[in-house]
Amino acid sequence: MNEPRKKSDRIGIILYCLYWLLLLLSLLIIGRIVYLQTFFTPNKKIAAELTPPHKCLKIEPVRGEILDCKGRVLAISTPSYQIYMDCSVLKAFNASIKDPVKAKEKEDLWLRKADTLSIYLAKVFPEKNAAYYRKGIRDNRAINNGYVLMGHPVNETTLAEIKKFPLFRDGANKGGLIVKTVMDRKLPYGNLAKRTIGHVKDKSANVANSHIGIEGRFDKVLSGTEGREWRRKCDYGLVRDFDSTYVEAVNGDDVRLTLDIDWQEKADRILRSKIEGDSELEAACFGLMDVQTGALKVVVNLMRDPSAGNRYDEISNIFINRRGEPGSVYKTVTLAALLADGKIKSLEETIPTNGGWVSNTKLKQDPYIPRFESRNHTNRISMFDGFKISSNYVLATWAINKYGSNPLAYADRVQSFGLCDPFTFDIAGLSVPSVASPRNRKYWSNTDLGNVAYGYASLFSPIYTLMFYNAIAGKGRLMKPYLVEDIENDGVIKEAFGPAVLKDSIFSRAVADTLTRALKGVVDEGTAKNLKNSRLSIAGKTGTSRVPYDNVHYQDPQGRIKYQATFVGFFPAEKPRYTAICVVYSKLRHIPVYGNGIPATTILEFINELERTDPEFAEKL
Amino acid sequence: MRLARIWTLFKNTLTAIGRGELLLRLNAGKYLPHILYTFFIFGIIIWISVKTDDSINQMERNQATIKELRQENAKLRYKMARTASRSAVLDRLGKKKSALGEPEVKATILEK
Repeated sequence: MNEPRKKSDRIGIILYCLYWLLLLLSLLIIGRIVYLQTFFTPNKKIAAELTPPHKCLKIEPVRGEILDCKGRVLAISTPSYQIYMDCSVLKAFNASIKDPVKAKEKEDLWLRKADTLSIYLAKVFPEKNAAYYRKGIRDNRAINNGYVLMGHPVNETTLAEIKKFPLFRDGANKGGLIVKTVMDRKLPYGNLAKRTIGHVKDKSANVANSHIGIEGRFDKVLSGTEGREWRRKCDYGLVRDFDSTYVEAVNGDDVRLTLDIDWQEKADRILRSKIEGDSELEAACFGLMDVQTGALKVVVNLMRDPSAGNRYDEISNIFINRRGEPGSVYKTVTLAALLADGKIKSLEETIPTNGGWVSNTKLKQDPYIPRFESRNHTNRISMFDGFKISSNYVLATWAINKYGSNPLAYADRVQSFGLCDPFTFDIAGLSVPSVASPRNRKYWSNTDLGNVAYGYASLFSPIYTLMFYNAIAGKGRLMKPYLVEDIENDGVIKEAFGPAVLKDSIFSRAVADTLTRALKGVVDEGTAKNLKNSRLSIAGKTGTSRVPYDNVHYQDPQGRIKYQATFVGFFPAEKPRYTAICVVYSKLRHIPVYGNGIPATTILEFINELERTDPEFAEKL
Repeated sequence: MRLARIWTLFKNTLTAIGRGELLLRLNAGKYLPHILYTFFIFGIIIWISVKTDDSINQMERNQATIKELRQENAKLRYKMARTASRSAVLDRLGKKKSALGEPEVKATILEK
């Protein structure tokens, strides 16, 4: 029997064909994938064109700030904007226009706009004229220079103006404007403490005079660490490639100083007002130190700047590096040595006046002694009186009488005060004093001892003199002067420095009290009487020394002399809190400059103003 | 023997593929949810990858904004330091002809 014929399954056949088509397609795709993954090597040129470019970019860290003791910013990095120009924009596009007439028209239009731009650029950057910029743009366009520096960095306001200039307002792709942000170091308080704050001239140079002040000494701390990242081009622009190495930048830390910028401003203003009127002065400095801690609250360095019309500016840190013969301020060291060695028991001990001539020496006559003799009708003078009138004779005689037979004992005693010991200071350039002694001089006599005793033949920088007087105020404790309080980041202290004691006791409290009494006498009745009515009691010493103008001679053929006038003291005398020094350096001149003149009156005015205005000195009820 | 079995398996597999019955023979129907879930995971991965790119781009924009804000902060702090100095304040008071100035006598602090 025949079976009935099956009806043809059309849909089934179609599905069956579709299935085979898809099966073949999938086999093709799988085969192609295997081939591409395993055997295929792309054309290198095409691969390079199609691979998104990668760039390794440096991440610049933000430089740390320098702060004063109250956290006010003394140095900060702020952005400024450097303008560059891509002079080759649209040049290739214009050249590619088929119609040569139109191409020339477009190119001429661009050049005309560039000429107008030159006029505007000359207004913003007047160092060069419009013709210079016009020629520059045209010449650089001719050689397809795409990165031409324009002028100096500008601020945001100027940048906004520049962006409206002809051609530049058309944007980077048509006008060629390129703006690069540059971080500039700025000092909000202008020239105040400029030399102490310092700067870095050349980061790569490892020489002392390229790294100045705190900026130089703490450059590594302030700089931070550079980072690195790989960036790839995408539709958005350059984005970080997370598959590549990334090193995060570490921003610099902040450095907090011990300076008080308000006090610095007062001292700077007062000192300038006193020295600016005298054209025969060369330089001056002012320092203020905390008795208990050694923190330097004020450091003013003013020197005539020949490159700036001889105006006073902070161009050299003379407070720490300028050594000179200290003059009469050194007499306190001699008195301290005599007291510490027990060579003198009381300031009331007397010696014969001898008309002011130191016997058996070549020392000059002391002119103050005959005056003292005639005023007081006496031929004897006490150490106290001699110190008050700053008599060279008295100090020299005492030194020769007590140390003449053993001058090394004097040298050793002075050495024990720590005045010739170097110490690490927070900025470079500290000059260590030297005191003449039989150890460093081939020929030695009592004349030399006498000279040393009243402040010659030795070289001291103002910081060391201040340090010594601070030790008297601190009852014998020699504190290290320091400028940097701590290193911090966002207010969190990373490393604190603080006070350091150089020598716990260079002399006893009794010696310190006696010295204080002597210094108080100088102010009450002696050479610094003009400071007697200060709002806060002062104990201090004046000093005037002659400076050899050619390292040998003190007086030039015209009879002129260079002077170094000093006043150093501490206040309040009964319970000292701060020690201050002011030194003025003159050019060759006929009229002397005395320690009780500009230096003493500067300190007086400073103390009076401080007492009036600073809450630290307010009366408490 | 083993080889013969493998050959038979291979032949049957090819036949099943040829007839379109492979999945039926493997009883793939009961694995349908798993297959669908796998494709769903593929979709999720692609979606996350797109979102990641968007987030990276947003992060870049934010970084640029943060950098600008930091620079703005530095500018303002510099400006503030310049204008807040004692001498600058006194200058401005003087220009406004204010009677306020530096104290003539020291302050008295009343303590508790």
